[in-house]
Amino acid sequence: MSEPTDKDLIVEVLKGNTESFEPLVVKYQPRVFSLARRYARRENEVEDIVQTVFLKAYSKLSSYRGDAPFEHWLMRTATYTCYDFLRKHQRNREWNASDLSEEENDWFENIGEESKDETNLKAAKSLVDKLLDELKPQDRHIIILLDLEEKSVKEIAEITGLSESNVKVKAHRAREKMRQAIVRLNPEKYI
Amino acid sequence: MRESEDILRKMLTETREIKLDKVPYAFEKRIMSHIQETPQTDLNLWKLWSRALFKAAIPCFSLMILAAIWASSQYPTPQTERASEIKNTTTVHAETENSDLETIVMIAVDPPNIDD
Repeated sequence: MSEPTDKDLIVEVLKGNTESFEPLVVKYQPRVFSLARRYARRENEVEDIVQTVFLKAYSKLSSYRGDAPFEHWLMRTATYTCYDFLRKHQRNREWNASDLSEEENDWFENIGEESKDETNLKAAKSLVDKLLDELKPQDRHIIILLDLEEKSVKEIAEITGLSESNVKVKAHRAREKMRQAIVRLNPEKYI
Repeated sequence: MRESEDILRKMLTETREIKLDKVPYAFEKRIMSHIQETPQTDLNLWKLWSRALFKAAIPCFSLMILAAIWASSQYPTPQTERASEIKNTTTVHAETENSDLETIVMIAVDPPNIDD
């Protein structure tokens, strides 16, 4: 017997068969976790975001029309939830060279080398998180979607409600701010 | 010395390569237990609304009929209004038969308003 499709499961949930929602959670939770980890650093915050996404999806399931894949609809809900999280937990912290960990300093030291090991990649992520901390929530949201989730400018404009040119301008300014932060974090290479 | 733009590009590229999709053990069970705790009001909102609307239709219709019956008994219809006008005219005419010539002339000059 073939596995039920997303649409079959949704119909079952809407009929009142709550258990049919579980296969949808199992299927899409890695994707939602991946997005949530771009926005939140602490694991308990990430789990709260993912939980909110699925509870929202469940309660609004009757509004899903089925004209786009369920994954798109769910990921849009996830994106809005992540942005809500950013707005509520606005940090706007400015980091300095003295705040860098050993791994992060090593990343700058070995910048010319092409390394794919886990420690190096984690250090890069940690540095990007520090740069993102300095941005306003909306700019941070745009950079995550554009440079990390690799969404198109058009998609971001639809998600944020901004015009495409406005998204480009905000992304340009945000990247400029991140570049300035890199100079501040790693001054010995520039001064 | 590298340009800050190159450094940023390298940082972003490496950040994209990290796999962030690890799911805690039995996380779906946690979601499902939350779902089973929450009432399904939002899900069945339309169903509840249409059911309430259907139940309300019969009392509303009965109330409308009663109101219509009561209203028709309170206000004269065009037919009853016409009958009342004819009655008034006849009364005036009957009164004039017993009056003297002066009254008849006065009535001819200034006829009484039937509406009054």
